[in-house]
Parts: sequence; structure tokens; C-alpha cells
Amino acid sequence: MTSGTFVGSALDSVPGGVVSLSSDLRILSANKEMAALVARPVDDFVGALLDTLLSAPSRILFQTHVYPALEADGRVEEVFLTLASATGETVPVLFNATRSSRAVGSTYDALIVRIRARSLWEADLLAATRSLERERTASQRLAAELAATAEDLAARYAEEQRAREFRDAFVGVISHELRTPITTIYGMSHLLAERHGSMDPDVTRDHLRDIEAEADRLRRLTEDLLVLSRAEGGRLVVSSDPVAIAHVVHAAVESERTRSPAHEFVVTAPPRLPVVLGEELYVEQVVRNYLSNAAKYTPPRTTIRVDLTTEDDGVAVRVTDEGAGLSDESPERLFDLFYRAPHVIGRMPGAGIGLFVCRELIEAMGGRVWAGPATPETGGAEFGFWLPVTTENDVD
Amino acid sequence: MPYQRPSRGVAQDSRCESPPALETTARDYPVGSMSDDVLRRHAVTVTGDPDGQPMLFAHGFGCDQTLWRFVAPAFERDFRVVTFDYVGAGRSDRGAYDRRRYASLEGYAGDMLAICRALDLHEVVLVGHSVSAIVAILASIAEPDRFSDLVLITPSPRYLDDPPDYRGGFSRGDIDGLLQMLDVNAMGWASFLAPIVMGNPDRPELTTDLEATFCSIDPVMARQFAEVTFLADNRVDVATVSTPSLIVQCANDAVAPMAVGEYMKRHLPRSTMTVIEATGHCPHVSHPAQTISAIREYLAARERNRRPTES
Repeated sequence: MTSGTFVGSALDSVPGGVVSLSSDLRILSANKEMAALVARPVDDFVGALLDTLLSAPSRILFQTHVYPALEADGRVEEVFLTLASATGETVPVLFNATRSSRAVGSTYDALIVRIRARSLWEADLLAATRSLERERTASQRLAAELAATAEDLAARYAEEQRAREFRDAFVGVISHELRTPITTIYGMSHLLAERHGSMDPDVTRDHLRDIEAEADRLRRLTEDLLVLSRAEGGRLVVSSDPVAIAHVVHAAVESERTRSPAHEFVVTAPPRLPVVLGEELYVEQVVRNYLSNAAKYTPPRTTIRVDLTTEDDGVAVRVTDEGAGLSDESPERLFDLFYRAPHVIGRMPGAGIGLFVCRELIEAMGGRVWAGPATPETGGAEFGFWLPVTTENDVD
Repeated sequence: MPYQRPSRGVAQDSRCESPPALETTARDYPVGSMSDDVLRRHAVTVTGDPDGQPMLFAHGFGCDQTLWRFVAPAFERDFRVVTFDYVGAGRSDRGAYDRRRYASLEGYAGDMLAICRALDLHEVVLVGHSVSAIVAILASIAEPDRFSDLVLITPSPRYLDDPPDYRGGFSRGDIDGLLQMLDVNAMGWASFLAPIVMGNPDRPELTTDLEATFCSIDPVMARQFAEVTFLADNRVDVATVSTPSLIVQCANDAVAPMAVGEYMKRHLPRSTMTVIEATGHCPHVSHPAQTISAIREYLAARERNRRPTES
């Protein structure tokens, strides 16, 4: 082998660049076609690293992909590379190499073939592929946007649906709950207006009491509705004042006693109870709802107990009765809006608003509510609430 | 897609913080994925002494774990030797490739850590080639207590030049040219970029290719890996490493030139550098004996230095 050309120059007639390489990829020999590809004389690059004939991107590809693959498999075929020609031109080629079968001398033999028209076709094909990919990405993004819009619409529809259901339930309940007392008041007052002169005084008094009771029912329903509408609109604001809870309970019990004379009411409370935090009118509304519920769902001549105790830095109020108890599996559902226990539907009038209002008010005051069976001995139900104490001094 | 550097200060103590980027990528896999899934996904191979100190070998861009076959066996007598393929390379589960997860090197570091967790590896000697040297750095910053040493073979924290002070060796145009070249090769010329369709009865020759080819990577993976690797800038991360390390530099490397190795040595705390008189970017393939002895000598020196203080 002289000056790096192949002996006998048989390879000079091969239509492609032929180089033999050492194990560290130094060029040991090359044919004339190889020299033509890089526009340099053979002697100019024999002894140099193959890297020196490659473009910068090809050097990376060669070191990271081609050399490992060649080492691993003993050959690589049809690798697209570009050569750096002495004219400054970048020459696209296909690179093929095998581990040399010769016992001594070179480690690798490579055949490098120029691609001309083909590389232009490939560039076009590649550009078309890329533009297709861009279009696909764009349409995927559009689809994603569409899906997001659909999701948004679905959420808005669900919200609308919920509002509509609430409105329907509200209108249904209200029309029923309002109509009954108004019918009574209208009927009784009409009767009194027509016949009060000839009416027995006892009957007159009974009618007047009925009117008063129904008007009271309307008043309380109105108060509950006011709380409900504020809670639904997120506008329920309660003040945090010190409340002497024993006074409130006693007042509510006295009022309920005149309303339900057939029931016996018993209140127990320790002599000194801490002052709780809340709004007095709302606490009274809760106690009144609990008491009237107890009176409504239990038979006459049974006892309704109200027990006040100090618990966990607060005061617990428990209203227990001797009625049939709660049949419901999950008593906390009783506090849900418009929920009514299955066994009372159709038997007792009611809107499913009162207990919801109790929960909203107590929770707004920083307390909690619960329902459950009363003690096993007596049977019946227990409805309770708890409010936190103030840090101020105790009162009687 | 430009590589997004995680927001991390140079001067902060990496032991006291967990980089958010890694944690989020670690969660990308379905919660409760079993360690068996991780081992299968990465075609994890475990050899050597089961009770030995673990040595985890991570292949670089362009090939798969078979490239370690000249070096890894030398450590089987004393170490528990673990090799694996990144998703998309070699015999990994190519269906598990996730463009979002692998949009940054943190995704690859998450894989390394997942493998360590799956095998419950501690005191790991982590050997990373080329881009995996940087991935190893990111993994060691995320979980410094897991690794005893890093062996970084031909690392580069940034391949692009950043004038006037930093020379990575390549321009943006060079990298665009590389990406273009990968695209052309993926169109069907090069066998190592063949997309492998496992168990496709219509094209049985593809399965044969996989069995016959050592180094094969998926073209989609190769292209994104190239982008993430060659456009990355991890110079800030280098300075925050606390794990001791060995840099193995080749005297004549077109991809990670000597100047880059010297930059690494200057900025990587607690690092040692060994220069192998070799040409090329893969000394573990071209000069396995020198690579093995460089690693052995480094580990022996570490052992000598450790003994007087720790016993």
C-alpha cells in the first residue's frame, strides 16, 4: 500500500467512495471516487480521522449512532450522512460499512455513495410529512379546544339543571305549604265575618285560635324561607354575639308549650352554663324548629325533653322525644334541603326546609348539628346542636 | 422544543430541597405502578453479586444497554450490576413512550430513580455515558443520599457554544442539521432507527430485525432525545452536585471535546478526571480495558480515603 491508495487501484473504478478505517476511525486508504466526493486529493486526508471529512451534524450522528451500531452488529447499511467537501459544499451520501474480514490492517471497510436527485425527493417527502404532522397537531388542538368547550357547556347545563330542579321543588313545596294555612285563615276569618254575631263565644275563640296558629306557622315558614334564600345565594351572614343559651331555650319551650298543650316539656340545665357565640334570634329559630318538629311527629301525652350540657368548649342542646324514632338509615340526610323521611311523606305536612335551615344556621355560627335515636330505654329520636363558648365570663 | 431548565439556585444546598420538576415527572406514571412494571418497561438486567454494592449503568443517546457489554461484566465479581434501556431504546416497552415525560432530561432522571426504587438500591455507583452523565447528575441532585459515586463518561453540560466564554463545540445550525439527518434516516434508510412493531404477524421481518440488531432505537424517541440532549444547558446543575464523581474524558472526542471535560472538572464539586488516550465518544466501546481500569482506580482511591475516617 503506497501513499494510502489501494494496491492495484482496482477500487478506483468502483462507482462510490471506498475507505478503509483503523479501529479509532482513522482513514488508512481511500479510492479516487472518495477523493472526488470531498474534492480533496487522497494524500490530503489519508491518516486523518474520518470525522474530518464529515459535516458537524454527521460527526454527532456518527459518534452516537453509527459507531456503536457498527461495533455492535459488525455492519451498518444505508446511513444518511453529509460530507464536508473542500468546496464548502455539503455532500449527501449513504454510508455503508462492515468490520473488515482481513486479518491484518484495517478494522472497517466503508462504501460511501453520493445521493443526488434522491436526496431532493427525500427533502420534499420530509417537508410534506412535517406539514402533515403540523396539520395533525393543529387539528388535535382544535379537537381539544372543542372538547373543553363541550365540557364547559355541560358544566353550565348541569348548573342550570340544578337551579331549575331547586326552583321546581321550591315552588311545589311553597305553594303547598302556603296554601294550607292561607286557606284556613281565609275560611275561618270569612266565617267569623259572616256569623260572629250569632256564633257561640267558645266556637268564635276556637276559630280565632286556629287563625292565630296558622298565622304563626306562616310567620315561621317565612323566617325559614328567608334563611334558605340567603343560604342558597351564599349570603347567609350571622353575627357572633354572646348568647345566654338557657334563656333562649326556656323562652322557646314556653312558647311551644302554649302551642302544643298536649305534650309535656321538661328542660334540664346545669346551674351555670357558659355563654355561647351566635345570633340570638337564629338560635331561637333552631330551638323552635327542633321543638315543633318533636311535637309534630310524636303522639299527645308524651314528654319532650330538652337537655343542656357543657361539652368540648361549647354547649350541647339535645331535644329528645318518645315518638316512633327515626327509621331512616342515615339520619344526617334529614338535614338536607327538601329531604323528608320516607315514612312521613304523605302522612304529615312538611316542606323539608326546617332542619336544613337549622343546619345552615348552626354551621354558620361555628357549631354542628346531629340527629339519632334517643336513649334505648325510652325509644324516640334525638336532635341536637352544639355551639362554641365565648372566652368571656360565665352567666347564669 | 427548547429545554426548560428547572428553577434552582446555584448556591443552594441541594440536600435541603427536592427539585419540583423531578417530583412531578415521577408522578406521571399511574399511581401504584408496581416495581415489576418499571423493570419490564426498562428491560432492566441485574447480574453480579446480589449482595454487592449496586452499580447502575445508563446508556447514552444513540444506542441501548448492550453498549455496556464490554465494561459492565468486569464489575460483576464485586458489584450488583444493573443495566437498562430508556423507553424507546433497545428492548424497552416502546409503547410506554410519553412525549411529555421525555420533553426534558428530568423525565430520564425520573426513570433512573424509579429503577433504583424498584430494586431498592442504595449507595449506588451510577455510571452514565454522554447525556446520561448529565441525567445522572440530575438524579443525584434529586436524591443525593441514594448515590455513593457518579462515573461520568464523556459528559457535556451544554453542546452549543455560548460565546464568548463557553465552547460546547456546536452551533444551533449543527443541531438542526442533526435533527434533519435523523428524520431522513428515520424514513427508512438506517436499520438502527427502525420502528419496531412487536408481534406484527403481517411483517415478521421487523421482529427478526429487533432480535438481530443490538443497537436499535425508536425514531420518535431518537429525535426528541436528540433535541432534549443537544439543546440542553445544565451548567447550573453541575455546580450543585454533592456526590463525589469521576469524569472519564477521551483525549480526542468530537462530541465532548477536551475543553468541555475541563469545564466539567472545574465546576463539578468533588470531582476527579481521568483522560483516556482515545479517539471518539464511546471509550467503553473502543477502549473498554482503559475505561474499566479508570473506574476501578477511582473506586479504589475512594475506598482508601474513606477507611481512615469511617472505621
